[in-house]
Amino acid sequence: MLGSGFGFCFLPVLRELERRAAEGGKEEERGAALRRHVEHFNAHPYLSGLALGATARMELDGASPEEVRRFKMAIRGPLGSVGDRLIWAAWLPATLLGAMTLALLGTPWWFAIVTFLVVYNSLHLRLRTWSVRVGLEKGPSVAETLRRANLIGRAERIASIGVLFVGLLVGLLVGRGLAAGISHVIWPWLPVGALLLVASIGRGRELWAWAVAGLLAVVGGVLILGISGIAT
Amino acid sequence: MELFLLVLLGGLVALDSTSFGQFMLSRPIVAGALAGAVLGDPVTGLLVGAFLDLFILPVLPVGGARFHEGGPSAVVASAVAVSGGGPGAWVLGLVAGLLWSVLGGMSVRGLRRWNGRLAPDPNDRSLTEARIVRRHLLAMGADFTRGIGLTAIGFAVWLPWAVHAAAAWPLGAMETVALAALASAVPLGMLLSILGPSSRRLGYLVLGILLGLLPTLFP
Repeated sequence: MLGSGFGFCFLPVLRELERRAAEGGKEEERGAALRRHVEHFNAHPYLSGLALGATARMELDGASPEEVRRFKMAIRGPLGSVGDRLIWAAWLPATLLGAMTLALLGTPWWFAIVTFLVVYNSLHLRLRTWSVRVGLEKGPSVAETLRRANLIGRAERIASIGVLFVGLLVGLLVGRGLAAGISHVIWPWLPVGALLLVASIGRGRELWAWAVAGLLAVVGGVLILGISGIAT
Repeated sequence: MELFLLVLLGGLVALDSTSFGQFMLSRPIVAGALAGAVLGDPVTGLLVGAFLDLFILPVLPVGGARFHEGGPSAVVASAVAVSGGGPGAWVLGLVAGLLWSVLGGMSVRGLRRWNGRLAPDPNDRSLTEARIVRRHLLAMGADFTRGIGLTAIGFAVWLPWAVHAAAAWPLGAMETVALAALASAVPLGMLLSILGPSSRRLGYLVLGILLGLLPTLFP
């Protein structure tokens, strides 16, 4: 729905264009502009404001429909890939793993949740407002601003923190198990867990399905043993 | 009343997932804790939501990827875990959440196909502003309704039997968490791939493990 979503967000700009056209005594065909902006458009939602703002600037500055269309086609790919790398593959995992670490450290339940929501949304909302503002200011030269913002470099640094949190989670889970007096469970299964973790690196989604299927099979098996009274 | 609130929460987190806001209230760790809070046990909700999130996190919503939906499934998982009580209900809640996240992903894809038909035709010369607004709001309303339906069906399918079956679960709480932690080694490995080349960040991983073990080594 990003196409018609773009058109939905663009309605105030179209109203302004119509007002200017009416003042200038020109017959602006509003429907044509409206149709132009419900065409297919896809980008990362947090950065799509760059395209939205820049397109608004172009329309207000009187760029031709063909120029506007070409700009939208060209910018959506970079916005998608940069946003995916920064948010879905770095910021979201790092902040979520941080919240899980807080929960495992025994902080109050609401503290982990509120911290995650505040930290995550601080960048989320900043990106949304920044992208619309910069898009409106820079117009079609917004690509250069995106390049200079070095969002990929920032994503790399955030990802390193995410890896640190993965390690913290593993250490905390193992440590908590040992401290809880189930070392007889932890020690035999620790090499299996380590092997699974290492074997999963670089693997695709098929392994995810196997992991879930394995968990379901084990849970089902243990439950059957419990119901039949073999294990109590 | 509690079930009504939870079903409503399922609709809201479905909406937050993509259609409106994306404030991450729909992440399982958040939705699970909120559902647990409604039922009076946010800690169990948080724990089941956190493990569900660990599993769902590596399946990124990138491009046309088929990703799983965490929000409504976490509400179902939390309700099963809290209602049953004990480690059996907790692990069955996790299983319910995982299966419901796959079903949720399928329902999102179905809704998107429907949205594609609903989207205004750029060649339609009679296209008006009012029609764009109407269809936009209709698509959001449909997503909310989908979340409500998914959560309600989840309750109807899982709650009646999972709560009773949980009583037969033979493992203790720590053994059950250890089992889930063992299974989560796979998504953690996948996450390491997503976060970048592991060879370059091995130092961060080792440092993290050592820091994580510190509270146990030096209590």
